[in-house]
Amino acid sequence: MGAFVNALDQEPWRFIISFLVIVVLTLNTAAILTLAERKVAGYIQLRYGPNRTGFRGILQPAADVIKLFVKENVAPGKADRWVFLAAPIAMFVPAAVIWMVVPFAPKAVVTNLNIGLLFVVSTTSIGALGVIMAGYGSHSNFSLLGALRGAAQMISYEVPLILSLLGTIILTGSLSLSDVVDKQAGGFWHWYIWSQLPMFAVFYIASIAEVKRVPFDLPEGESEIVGGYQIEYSGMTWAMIQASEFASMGLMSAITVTLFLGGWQPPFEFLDLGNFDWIWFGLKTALVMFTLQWVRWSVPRFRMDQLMDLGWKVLVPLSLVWLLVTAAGTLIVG
Amino acid sequence: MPQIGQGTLKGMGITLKHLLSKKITRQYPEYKRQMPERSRGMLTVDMDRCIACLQCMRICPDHCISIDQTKRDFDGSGKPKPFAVGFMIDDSRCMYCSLCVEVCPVNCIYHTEEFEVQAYSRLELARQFGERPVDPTVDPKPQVKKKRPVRGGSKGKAAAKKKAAGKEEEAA
Repeated sequence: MGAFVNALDQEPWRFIISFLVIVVLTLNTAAILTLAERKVAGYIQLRYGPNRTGFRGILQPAADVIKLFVKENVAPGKADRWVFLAAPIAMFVPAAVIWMVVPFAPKAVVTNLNIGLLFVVSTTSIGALGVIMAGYGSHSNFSLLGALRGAAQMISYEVPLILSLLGTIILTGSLSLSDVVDKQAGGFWHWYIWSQLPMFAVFYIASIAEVKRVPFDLPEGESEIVGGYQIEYSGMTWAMIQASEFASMGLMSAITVTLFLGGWQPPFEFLDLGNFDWIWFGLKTALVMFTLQWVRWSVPRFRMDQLMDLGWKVLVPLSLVWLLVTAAGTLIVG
Repeated sequence: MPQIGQGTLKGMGITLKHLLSKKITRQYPEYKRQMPERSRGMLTVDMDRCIACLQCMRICPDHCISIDQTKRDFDGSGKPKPFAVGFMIDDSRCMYCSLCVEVCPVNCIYHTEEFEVQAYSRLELARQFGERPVDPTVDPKPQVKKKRPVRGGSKGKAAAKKKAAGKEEEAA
């Protein structure tokens, strides 16, 4: 087993296998999370959720995908056709690409970039471009308004998101995600969530806003606000938009786990699983994803002004203050 | 920010409690509830009892009932009685007001407990009873009897007087 793993660790194999894992992960997180979301919603609303296809609805994602493939893909007559069709791809690709730098286990990372964190924050902001493209390309007033709301929200929450990463960067002294995880070795009390608790809160809230989920889902607002940037989409293009939302939700929880919850580090030293450390990573990511869904079904939606207030008047100053505290603390402690 | 803080935590606690509590979903297609008394499902008609009086057809606000009426001499007495050759109930129009049920003198039209009304086309919902099918595409609006013209005489004069009196009262 050990020799086999070592053989797989050599260069072409390591890359190919981790690449395949990431492709499967990105495509499947969206499908599985859709089911999980509906089940969690059902349980919170005192019903079962989808439970007719397969055992307790386990085949529901497959049925959904088939239905969406069969559905006609309609584009509005006056739409800017190329922009309209490229927008879902522009939204999906960043969400898929960032998985490249996420360390699942000590050896399971496609490319251990030196500038991993910079790569993450720069690539997530491409999502705003996709939203603008969808709104502008649809040639519909509601889409355009939704897209502008979305862009305003995503850009304003990009600032606290990046600021909240700086504390971790100061403590690690590196932008590589694998280094961040390595520094958190040795029990859960070494995880950055304790020393960076306000930063964790800021990052968590900003990541919810970044993936456009309730309570920050103003860009979409399915029921209360009249549609968002995705009104005009149907069939597989709509599915791509939804998939990118769910994939980036999984991604954001993975990044949260990597930065603040010790990544693949087990909570205690004696629980180290060797080559199976990715199980810890998966468990923690699943937990964070569940809290995201839990928040979604508990908290009412923000108004636009409340949203901006929270971003600029609470999260940005808080992260700046804690950045100062972290910097001073590193100077004093050494 | 009143939303962030205690209120949010309280709400999250409530939803967590719901997450773990017992579910009250009814597994509907497998388990069907006993329908309550006098529940209004799809309409049906007992053609053996129908006397083709056309009252249900006349009272229906949606014109969803149409009856093909003839007269047949059943007992050879030489006096033909009305008989419904065709009877059509269009469930795509019916609004379950139950007026036809109330007005029927022989209680031959009534609600069943069947409430799953679905079909692929609207015409499938027009259910036929009786010997001969009725065309469901024709609006079965019953013929309105023409009002008899007001005849001259005391009756007409009285009415006219009354009318005039009313006008005077209004004017005063």
